[in-house]
Amino acid sequence: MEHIIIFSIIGAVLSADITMFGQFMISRPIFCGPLFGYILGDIHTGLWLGMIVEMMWINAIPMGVSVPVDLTMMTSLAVIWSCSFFQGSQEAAIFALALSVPFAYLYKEVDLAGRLFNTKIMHWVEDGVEKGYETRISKGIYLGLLFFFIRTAVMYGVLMLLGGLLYKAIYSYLPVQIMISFKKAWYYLPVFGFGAVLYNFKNIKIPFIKKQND
Amino acid sequence: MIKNFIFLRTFFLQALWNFERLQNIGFLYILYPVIKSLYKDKEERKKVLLRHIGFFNTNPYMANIIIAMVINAENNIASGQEQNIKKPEMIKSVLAGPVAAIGDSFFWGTWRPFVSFIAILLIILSMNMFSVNFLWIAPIIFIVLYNVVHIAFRYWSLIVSFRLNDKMIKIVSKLEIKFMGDIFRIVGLIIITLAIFFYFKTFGFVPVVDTELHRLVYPDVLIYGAIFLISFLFGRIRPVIMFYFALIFSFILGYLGI
Repeated sequence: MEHIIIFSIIGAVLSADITMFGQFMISRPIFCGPLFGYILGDIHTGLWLGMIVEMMWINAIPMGVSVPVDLTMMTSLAVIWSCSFFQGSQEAAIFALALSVPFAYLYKEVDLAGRLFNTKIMHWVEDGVEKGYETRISKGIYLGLLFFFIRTAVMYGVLMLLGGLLYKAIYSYLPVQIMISFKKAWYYLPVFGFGAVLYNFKNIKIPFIKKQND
Repeated sequence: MIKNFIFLRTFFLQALWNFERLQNIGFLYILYPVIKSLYKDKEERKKVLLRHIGFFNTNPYMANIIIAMVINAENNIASGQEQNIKKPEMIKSVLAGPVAAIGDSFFWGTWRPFVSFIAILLIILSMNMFSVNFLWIAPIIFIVLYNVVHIAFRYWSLIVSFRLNDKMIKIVSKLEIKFMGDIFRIVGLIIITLAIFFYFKTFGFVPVVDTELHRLVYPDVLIYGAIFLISFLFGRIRPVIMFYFALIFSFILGYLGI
């Protein structure tokens, strides 16, 4: 956990990919999970958690005005906590994921507030253009990115630190029976994910057959 | 050169995404160097910039078609070939919805899940057949494969739209994106079915020894089948509810000693 600042910066860069810049999909759990796992020396846990989140939240994409939960933060926090405190433990990894889900939903609220603040920056840019200050267009874009980066990095840092301490403290007191359940969940959750993925195919059409019918 | 510069700027389309006018400032940011070069008079330029500050929203991958067509229209207005100064706004309002529907459906509804399925299959295969040293391949293939198509399309659509202008719409409609989407969905279904098969084969029959807790945990293929059926039948449920249900389900099975 001594690399909190670096991880916060990496996390903010990855989260920016969701909406703010590029959409290269480096924010997807299947990439960011193994990335943090690799950095912390346990790519296996990162891949597994990333695969679970990717499948269970397969349809979570920012379309129109909808703001989905930040899967990047959910996966990254789970991988960072589990690999930092209990590396290689499957039950600890699942417990980390269970704990990171509410934090990701909490961050969604912060993100919503940030996007509302963007409206104020937008009006500031508009006002500038009306007054002839055209440089506000570029400044508005960079300010939007900067504020996003700062709030996301701060959230990553705080949640990594405080959430990590909470995670470590609770996990130490978990009874064996619960740990066995988490161990089982390590294998069950991907199967739940497979079901969620296959549900998307329930209305699949075979194009060649459809062409013949037409 | 200016086209490449505009292409780089297109990645900032959503940098100031806001609830009131969504991508408006991003769009203005992309257009600004062109407008600055077309209108040397500051007052005239201000009018053009204010025309583009209204609501705008489309799929970011498909936006380049609209961006190129709007730049062409602004070029024509500045040179006097086009009299209707509202044409750029009309292009934006008429095309934003239809091209967004194509982009959302193909890139986010089909291509991204398809590439994810390939990565998931690779993860499971590397645990089943290959060495764990190959685990890093899956996320790399995910990113490379996704972006080869994504970036190539963004660049191609911008450059070709500059050249063809209105005719680009015909090209996009002839791309048979829906047909390609259907093909990718079928191949994706095959890939994910293979992933499920190898997952069940790898983890469904072998008892796993938990060295930490000094007891055996038996992931049972029958339980997997039941879980799979439950999650498939209740696929409409919100993922977060399904996730915690899965954990509670594991607690119950653990408590019962199954």
